[in-house]
Amino acid sequence: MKVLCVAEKNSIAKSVSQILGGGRSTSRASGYTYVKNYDFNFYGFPFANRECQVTMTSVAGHLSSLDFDNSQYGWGKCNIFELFDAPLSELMDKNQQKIAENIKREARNADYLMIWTDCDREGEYIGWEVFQAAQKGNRRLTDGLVYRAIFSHLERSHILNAAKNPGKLDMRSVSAVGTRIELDLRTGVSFTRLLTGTMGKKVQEANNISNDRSNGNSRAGNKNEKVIISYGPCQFPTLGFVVDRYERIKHFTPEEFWYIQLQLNDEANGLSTTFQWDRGHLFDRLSVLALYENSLEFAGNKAKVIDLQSKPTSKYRPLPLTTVELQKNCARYLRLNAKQSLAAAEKLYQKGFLSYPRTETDIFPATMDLRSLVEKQAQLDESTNSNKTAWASYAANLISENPETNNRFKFPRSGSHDDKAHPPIHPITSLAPNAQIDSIERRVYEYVARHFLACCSEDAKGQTSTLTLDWAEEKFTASGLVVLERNFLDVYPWAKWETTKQLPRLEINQECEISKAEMRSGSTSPPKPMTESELIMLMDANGIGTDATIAEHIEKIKARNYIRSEKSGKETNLHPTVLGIALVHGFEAIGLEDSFAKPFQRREMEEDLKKICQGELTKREVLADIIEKYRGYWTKTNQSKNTLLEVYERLRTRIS
Amino acid sequence: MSLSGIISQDITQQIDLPTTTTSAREASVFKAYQNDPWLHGTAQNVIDQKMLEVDRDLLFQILMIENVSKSKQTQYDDLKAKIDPKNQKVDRLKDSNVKGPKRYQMVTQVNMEDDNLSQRNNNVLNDKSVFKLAIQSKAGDIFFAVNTTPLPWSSCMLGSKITIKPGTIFNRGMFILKESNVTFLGGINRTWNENKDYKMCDYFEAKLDQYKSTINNNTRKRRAPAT
Repeated sequence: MKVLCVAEKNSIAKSVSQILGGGRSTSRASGYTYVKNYDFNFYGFPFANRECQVTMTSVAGHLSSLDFDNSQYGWGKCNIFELFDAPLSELMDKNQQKIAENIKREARNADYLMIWTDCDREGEYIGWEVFQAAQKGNRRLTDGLVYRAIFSHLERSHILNAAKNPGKLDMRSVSAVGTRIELDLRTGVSFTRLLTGTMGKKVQEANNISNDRSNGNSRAGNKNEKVIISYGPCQFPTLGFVVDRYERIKHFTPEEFWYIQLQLNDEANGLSTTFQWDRGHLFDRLSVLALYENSLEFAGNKAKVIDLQSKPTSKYRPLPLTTVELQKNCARYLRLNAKQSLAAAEKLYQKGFLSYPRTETDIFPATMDLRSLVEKQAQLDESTNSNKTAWASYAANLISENPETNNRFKFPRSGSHDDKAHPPIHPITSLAPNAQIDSIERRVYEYVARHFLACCSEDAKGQTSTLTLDWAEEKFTASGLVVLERNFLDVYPWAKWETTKQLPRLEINQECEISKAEMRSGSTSPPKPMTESELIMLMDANGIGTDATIAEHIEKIKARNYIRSEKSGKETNLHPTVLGIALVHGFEAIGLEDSFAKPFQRREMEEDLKKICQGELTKREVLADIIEKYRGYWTKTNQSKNTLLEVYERLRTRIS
Repeated sequence: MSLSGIISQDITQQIDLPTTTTSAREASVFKAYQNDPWLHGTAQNVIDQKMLEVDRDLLFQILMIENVSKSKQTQYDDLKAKIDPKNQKVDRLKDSNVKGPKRYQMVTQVNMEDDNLSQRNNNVLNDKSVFKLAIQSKAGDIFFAVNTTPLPWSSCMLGSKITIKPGTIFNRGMFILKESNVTFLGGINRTWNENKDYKMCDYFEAKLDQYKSTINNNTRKRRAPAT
């Protein structure tokens, strides 16, 4: 009995075949360099009830893409409006053809097909693509003979359990992804052609002028490069976040505020402590003045200690690492942009140093042997002492039985996200100084390793003291922190938690003399420009893109010259370009019912896709509804082309 | 005219009180209405009146309540988002109290240091919020009041009536209110509450414009040659 298993990537196929084959799998070429076929025997599939000859192979992401027929619907060959209901066909590039051919060939003699793609919506769709390819090689492979492995990580018992308890492909998820792909294509292509047709020439001219002025050193692009003004349902909301921040800074008006501050001087030890007003600050001078004079009148320079609290406190170790956190923290701590950090993590994964870096999961499976991963970081072998990393001795201490330390290995905290496909990002093997990796990969590896060790450590422990004074019923507090155990902070230098100044020794109900009671003022300052790490978080929080695509969307709008990044000290700030602002304002001026630059439309579509998965809506219904809306938006935009151009021209004159 | 008559009416207009009252509460409100209005006729130098103590019950109607713990820009943005949620700014950093349809609710604040992402958008109204009230006596004089303890009625309708009790401090045009020295009577003035959100928006916008022009003028002044 023959079973063909197909995973989403070669690394998964390799790991699963090693587990199912008990280490006795043999690999052979597939016709595509990055995919191998692994042969082994396995007893345990419930549908076969005997030992089976298994071939495990993989795809490399999607097996096909959807597009219009270029001869009839290519650029300039049809009325753009036709694209909303033009027929679509599935296309494969050369590599996809090689992979599909391998599946077709391997399926020829298979009795069963088992899908091992990632257990998420996208994985379900890829599984369906695999089924289509397999059927081309073997018509006998009908629905009833296709099974789907349900697994969330590559731990041995979990994989064996998945092989023994397969489910079926979820066709609702397949429909949901199919809907998303078709919508992105139809809306993306139709609006990209409309926008490029409307504004491309103008933007090209403006770029040429700015290129001439800057002797070709302009960011605006090459003179001969054709300007594409693309629309994408995630690109525009991403741009919207940046433009909204720009507008907020541009139109910012400082507002004055006032507050009261008390100061106590302890002349015996020369200690001076500032107490902050419990009300923070108020945006009304008269109110603060009235309260200040009231306290001064009734209490003079006397205040009373009304609360004195000292309690243990912790600074939590970080949660297990997800892709979004990796990108966010590499941007903040290492000044790497999202694309750089993800690309480095991907390479480290391919070289076997890191686990799969695209994951939304921040919970380690309880059965996972994390202690052995810490041991690898410790590199306990004395002979390799010189090769130890900077954090190796920390790792060694973590798993040692040293009675002098409280910082021992502790299973990581659990977050609340589980994508059911991959565990959090963690180091697999330790890094030798002569490893073949570039400097960015080395920095990303160090970050992941330190983050992982911090996850497996104790929280930092400290003691906070808070002293509250009453000054004629107005409350003022001062706080102090004493760090008692640094624990994870020793391996995670990016988290700051320091002992603060000592508080004065006062007792509850003690009356004390105020050295200074001041009414002070300040004013609000504008928000800072958008940073990449902030943009990633806003996109993630508002459902724009996925962990795997967020970096692509940001890069795309940079490549389209809608935003530009600019180094400012240690930060990399994102600023919209004239074109980026013009697109957002232009669409605002057109006044579509739902703004392209806000995240609501995308979120609504996500809700519809969820309903498809739950069986409440069908692909046909969702497509019909959203395409109809876009037809309306397209017609309105097409009638308002001049508005887009006027806004662009106006902004260009004003800003440049 | 009954108690409900007083609280639903503009007290600067002529009100005829009945000769008998039906409850102690009604009697105290009528008395507060009948008492001499606060500092009537001295409005010009009210700002110089320091630390006066109220010696009688005083009846006022509320003309406006403004949260002075929050900046005008924040309150303006919150109101704009409530009025037009589809076009709200989506990069916001400040807490938001916007209550709109769920599909337009935004995650507007992400705490970069916080691992616990479920605790986003701290929408709970801060108990320590300070409100500045513009209140009017029956004589038409307008004063301010500020609360030092939380007032449960701080989101009341405009035109609501309050009585301020003896012992309350009045400093530089402003009553210093605690929950214990003020009685909230309720009431409404329909005209004042019509399109309140829009009016508040206009107010915040005008204030911000005013700040902006002050800054511009100051900048210009600094740039002017010193001749």
